[in-house]
Amino acid sequence: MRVRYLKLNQFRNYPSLELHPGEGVNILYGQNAQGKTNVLEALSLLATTRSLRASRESELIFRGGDVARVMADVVRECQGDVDLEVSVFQTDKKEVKINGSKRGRVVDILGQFNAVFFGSIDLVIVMGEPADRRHYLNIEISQISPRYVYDLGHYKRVLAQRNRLLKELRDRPRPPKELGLDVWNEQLINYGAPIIEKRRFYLERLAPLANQVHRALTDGKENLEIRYLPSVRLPKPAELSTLSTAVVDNSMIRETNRETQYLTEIQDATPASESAPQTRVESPLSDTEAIAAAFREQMAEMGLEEARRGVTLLGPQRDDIGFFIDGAETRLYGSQGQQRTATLALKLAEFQLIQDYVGEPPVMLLDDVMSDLDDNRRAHLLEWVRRRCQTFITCTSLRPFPKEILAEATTFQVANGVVTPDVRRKTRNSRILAEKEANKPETASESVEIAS
Amino acid sequence: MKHYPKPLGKLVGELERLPGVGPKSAQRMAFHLMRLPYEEAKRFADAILEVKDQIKLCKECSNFTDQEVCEVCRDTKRDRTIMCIVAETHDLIAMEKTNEYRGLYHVLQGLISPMDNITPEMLKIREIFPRVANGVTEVILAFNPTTEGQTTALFLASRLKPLGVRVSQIAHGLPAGGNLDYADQATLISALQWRREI
Ligand SMILES: [Zn+2]
Repeated sequence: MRVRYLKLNQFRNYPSLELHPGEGVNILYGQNAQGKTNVLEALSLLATTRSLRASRESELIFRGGDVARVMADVVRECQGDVDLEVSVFQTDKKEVKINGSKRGRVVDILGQFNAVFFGSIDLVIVMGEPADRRHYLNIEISQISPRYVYDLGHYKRVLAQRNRLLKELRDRPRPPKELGLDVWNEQLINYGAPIIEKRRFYLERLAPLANQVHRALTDGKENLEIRYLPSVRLPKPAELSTLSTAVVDNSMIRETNRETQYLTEIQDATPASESAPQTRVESPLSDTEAIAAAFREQMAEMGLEEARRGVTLLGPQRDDIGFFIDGAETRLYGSQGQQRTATLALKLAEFQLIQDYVGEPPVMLLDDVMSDLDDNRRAHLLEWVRRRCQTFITCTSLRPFPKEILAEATTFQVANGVVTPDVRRKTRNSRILAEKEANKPETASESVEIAS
Repeated sequence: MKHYPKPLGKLVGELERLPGVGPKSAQRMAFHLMRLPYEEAKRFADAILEVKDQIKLCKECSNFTDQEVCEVCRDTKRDRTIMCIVAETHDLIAMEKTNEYRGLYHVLQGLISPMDNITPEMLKIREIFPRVANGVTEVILAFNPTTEGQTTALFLASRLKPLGVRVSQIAHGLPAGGNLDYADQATLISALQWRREI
């Protein structure tokens, strides 16, 4: 998957911008606050429909503008090429177009273009609050499962309604059933169980990949363990399949090689009332059903506690993810270097997961990693992305890049909202290489470390 | 002048309270109404009062009517064993326009939504049970596919099924003549959920 052409209109500090990126590594270099990260943010918006940093989406609009627009021509191996467009309005409303036709819902663009972003803001995944980690999970799972977005939307609504009802019961106690609490309970479980299942499914696959990367980044010295810490205690592992097929979405419906998975899901989803009770007892519950049963049981155990407190105490809104390096919780006991490494491992694992899922590598967006990572990890990362996928890297200088990377890369100079491709790149690169050669004392130590 | 003359300010204020009307459009409407010929303005004011004076809920189905019992409930050619439950009168009208359904209706006058202070006892739900005891054997639930619509459907199903009535819900999914390719994902997901055996 790669972007052949990117166009921005009234986006952040760009009145307009057209970019023809290269197939491999693209380097955007220039002083700070010139708009390098904004290019990555535009690409990330196409993949997730969310802004990376803005608290209100309308902050994406160029000062004095009406609509911020991001358009991209995406080359895809598996699903065919596609033109994507996201517009952000002053009202914070967004609009998406796929191949020029407007879609009713913004989320319809999810899954059309996949990208993995890595930058210092991602440190909150390991370092921040549980809400930051849930936000991360929601964004990532949304990229591969439209069903998740659908369930999450309903779940949030049910949760708000149920909390309101619980508050009412707290302030004016009455028989809960009269107010229909039993039905809101069932709805919370209906939409909550698939969310829990998808999170479990996702993290179960992500964790071993992340550990592999983390070990590689630390020369096999450290082990990273990522643990899903759900609010609803999950059923015993024996009751859950390890190769769950619970993720359903359009790409599965389209792709014949995944048809069997999709059919399994259909069978699993058959409500109990529709199937013969005898076969029901013998066949194991599907994962989502088992989780729903656990959710129901634990909610019942709580009795009237929720009504006493006036708030929902159980469910995905209270989930967390734990990061442990050699058994110690990274957030509390990890060094800054370890925290960065764990975040990078997580992101590269995510990359692999999306690649396995979509069938082709996503686009990698690396924000200012050249200064944030130590030489060793930086070299590992560059080697990792090299020839694997289309990559966009922002940095203040081309200096830290090894020759092999620079020789292949497409470079753009970014200054004050203007992005200038280095047209005679080869010449320019050789000039930089020559500069590096001349500047022995600084580069010598670097190249030793990169080589090691 | 900092404020409108009192009567005009009052009208703007009343209009602002209408659903979906902001201060700007309230102002525009108020000026429009103010400039109407007296007769037209009176017709408008009378229409509002007539609705208040004459429209009430049908004693049987809680539909809006200007009689004791609404037109549908009075129709003797209707199948009285089947009842379609809808949230609002405009849903009833939409169903009627199809000319496909010949049973009775019941209008809840809203959907369950604690956030809007609407709990089951605020809706016309109590009124369903005597009707079910009185010969209705099948109930069709026809609500919007929103969280509140679905929850209201679940609520009614859980309360009605134990009485031995057949309860079904209208399908939500692809529009007739709609193309699979162009359906949004939520519609497809919903269509999958509401699939049926053929
Ligand atoms: Zn009636």
